[in-house]
Amino acid sequence: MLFQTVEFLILLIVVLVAIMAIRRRRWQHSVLTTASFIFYGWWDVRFLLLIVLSSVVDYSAALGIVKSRRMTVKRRTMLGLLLVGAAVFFLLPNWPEWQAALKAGQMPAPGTPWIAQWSGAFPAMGLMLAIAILGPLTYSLCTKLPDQKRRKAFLLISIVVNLGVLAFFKYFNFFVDSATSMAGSMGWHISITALEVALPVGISFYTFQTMSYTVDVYRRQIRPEKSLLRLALYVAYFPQLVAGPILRPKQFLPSLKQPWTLRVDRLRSGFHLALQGLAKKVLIADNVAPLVDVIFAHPEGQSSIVIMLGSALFAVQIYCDFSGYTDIARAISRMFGVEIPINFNFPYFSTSITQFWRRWHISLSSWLRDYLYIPLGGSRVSVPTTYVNLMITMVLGGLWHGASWNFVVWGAYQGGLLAVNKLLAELAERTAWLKRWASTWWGITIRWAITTWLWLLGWLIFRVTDFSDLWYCMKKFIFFDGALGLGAAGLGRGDPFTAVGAAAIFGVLHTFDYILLRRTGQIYANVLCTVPYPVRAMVYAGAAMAFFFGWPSTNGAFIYFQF
Amino acid sequence: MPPTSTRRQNEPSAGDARTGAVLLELARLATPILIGLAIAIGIQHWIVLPKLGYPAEVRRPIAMAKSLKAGLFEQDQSASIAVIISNSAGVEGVDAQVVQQAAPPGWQVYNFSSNGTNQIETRMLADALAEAGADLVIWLMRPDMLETPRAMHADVTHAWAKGGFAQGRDWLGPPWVDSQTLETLASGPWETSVHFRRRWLDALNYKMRRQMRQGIRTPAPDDWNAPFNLEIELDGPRLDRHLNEISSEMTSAMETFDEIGEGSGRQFITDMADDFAQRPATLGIIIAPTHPALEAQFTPIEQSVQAFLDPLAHRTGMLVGNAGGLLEADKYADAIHPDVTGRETLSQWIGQWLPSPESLIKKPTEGR
Repeated sequence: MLFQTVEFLILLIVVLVAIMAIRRRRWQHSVLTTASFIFYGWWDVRFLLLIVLSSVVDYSAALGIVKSRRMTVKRRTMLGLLLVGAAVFFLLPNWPEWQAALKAGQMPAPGTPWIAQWSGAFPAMGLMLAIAILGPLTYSLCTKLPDQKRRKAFLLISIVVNLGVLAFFKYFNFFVDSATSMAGSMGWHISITALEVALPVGISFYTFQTMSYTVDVYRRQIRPEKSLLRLALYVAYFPQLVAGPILRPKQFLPSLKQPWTLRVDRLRSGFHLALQGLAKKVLIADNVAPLVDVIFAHPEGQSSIVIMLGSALFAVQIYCDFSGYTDIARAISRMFGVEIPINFNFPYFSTSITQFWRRWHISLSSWLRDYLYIPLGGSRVSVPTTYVNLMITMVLGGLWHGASWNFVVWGAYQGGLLAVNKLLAELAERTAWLKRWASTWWGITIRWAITTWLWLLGWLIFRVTDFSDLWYCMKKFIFFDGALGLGAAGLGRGDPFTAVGAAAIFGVLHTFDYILLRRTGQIYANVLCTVPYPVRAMVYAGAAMAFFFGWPSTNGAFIYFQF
Repeated sequence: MPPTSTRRQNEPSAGDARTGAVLLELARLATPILIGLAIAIGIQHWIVLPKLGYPAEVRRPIAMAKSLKAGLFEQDQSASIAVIISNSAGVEGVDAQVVQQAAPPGWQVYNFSSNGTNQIETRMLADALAEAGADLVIWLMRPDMLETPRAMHADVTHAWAKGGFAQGRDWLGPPWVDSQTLETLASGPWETSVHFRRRWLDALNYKMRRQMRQGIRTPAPDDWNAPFNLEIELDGPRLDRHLNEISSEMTSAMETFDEIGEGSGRQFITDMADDFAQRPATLGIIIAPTHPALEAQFTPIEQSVQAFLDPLAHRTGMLVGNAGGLLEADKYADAIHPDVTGRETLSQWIGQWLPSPESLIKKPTEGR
């Protein structure tokens, strides 16, 4: 379900009414979890089983880590049965055809089979049965281990299951294809059948989110959640389920200790943030996208200026798309009464790559720092090892984005930039004049320009997946060919006026927003809360008119859904 | 306590969580949005659309409807009417006057081609032309039209709806068009206004596109003779790129090319030919020319199309022609569209291919 659709608006209204009408926590959590399952199942109901599996495994593993007495044999059996029940419910009915018909607003054609017709249904069912039977047995065996070993065993189970699911759905075909072509280049012929599996939407986001729960329990930073319902809500919480921000248990679970209430100030402020996010997504990102697609569909033959324009427009598109989603996620959650942390802090105003990564996709950067970089040793080890750790973290961070070699290269590129940045920062610390120069206005401007050029080059690696096209684009981006005309570029199909106009409007408004933040500590959405209602009403009416005249005819999916 | 106005006192306080206050706030948020939307729809319907008109791509179907309603084919009762329909193959490749000059005497020829028309649009138009009194409807067909009928673009769907082309077409519906397209084909003026809400942007883009591209002309939407757009010719890497695009489009069209039975492109054309067999008008299909650089890919496809069409023609009285290899490379403006000399050659070929009006098999129900 996309945020910018009517079906989502209906779901949101139902949830808001439910929160207003229901005062009991438990019932609220049930409604929220059900809404989250509907939200996710709208794409493909079968993949809901993965969320149930993750929730049950992490719930059990966390209780196993602390050897909770709650996990009686009876409860373990119940959890096993719950998994079997969920597997039967999600895997055995003929969901794909039924869902497609219902989404098209029709009843399934007469004679449509009721029982699963897709090839993976019964093997998946068998696997779930095995997990449901072996799970309680494994739990019993692990609880008999000595304390430290037991804690590690349960943590390992959680990590293996979560990463196993992620690896299977997201990376299996990538590794098979890579291994086959690598063997082929060495003259060996190996044949491994690639799987025809769809990538579950947002799997990387909720896998990282749920893993952080067991790791935090293992590190004794939080206590395990006693209620499976509450943990399931943490894993599947729909505002941020498919594209983050990646929540930490400490940021969300405490809010479930009291009933949620709708409050006027939070509704208002959330509404403003939602308007901002929606405008970023549908008025900017979706209007810029067609031209970006035209430029990078066949980049070979395009001039330097067109490639640079493509990279700059993609920078606007991906920022507005992703931060727009985050704004809406935060807005909805704020309306419910739960504050989700920011994920972007004006990254394009960064004056170094290190700063960029502290401001871009903050929840992922900090996750990688806390759960990968620091456990690897971080910067507390020797200098070469620190750089290796940085590189490993960024390459894996790149791979997190997608099962494709260009993301690996992008991660390595970012890791390399961070390493150079670190070296230069250390050099500047030791060199007085360099330190002074770096903080002058022109020092800041030059640092910003270089940083901007570097991340624009980085977006090319991110966007252009074909390596020969990428090589061409990078050459054109780095070595300017001097051609200034756009006449031969064939950009007409991408609606250039709309794309460039939308990007320019965004650039101006975003810059003013940044200045406003620097001067007052507030952004537009917050300032709007403080103005009298007639002014706000005019802004709302103006926004409605802007949406009417600028909303593209087709709703584009959010870019980060694919990750 | 600071003094507050009456208005301020009526506002729900910030931290208020009472149901009434929350509902009031929701109403205060929603009302201006609804008012803004209503104003925007009004501006669009009464100001923007009347001022800017419909986008260039959709004006032609609307002009077609207008001309047919005004009795275009009734102007010269002595001549037989032949109408060429197609997508850009016919827009760029046919000059109806040249066709008429090369044709046997007695024909009045029109070119009703429109850019981007798919199979569904072609059949709707063919039906309307037959009903308006055309004696021969000639579909200049690219070989990829044997694929499963493509979805109609939403903009032109509205244009066909506005022209009334979908009225009385019993064949329109699944599997050829989905329920949403059917709804659009029956839409009214307000729905059309809302649909074209980005018309102002479209107009600005069109202007910019024209400035960026030289050699593009805008013919009148009711040019039924030679409504071509291209005045330039691609060469070098740009031509290569276009050839690659056409080649990959054909490869993707080939995925459903050989399908038969319900929902297939072959079934669609069979139904159309069967339907025309019952009409006074005759249907003709000409396989459109292909750039020699794509010959290796297209020739077997053209042969396959011909092999499909020949028995159908034999059964239904449909006319079939093949102009597949007609034009040399220097008669193309790009990878697929004829240039001025290509248009001349193809138009003459079509004229010479036309049978004499008298030789068309007359059906008992004929009468215009």
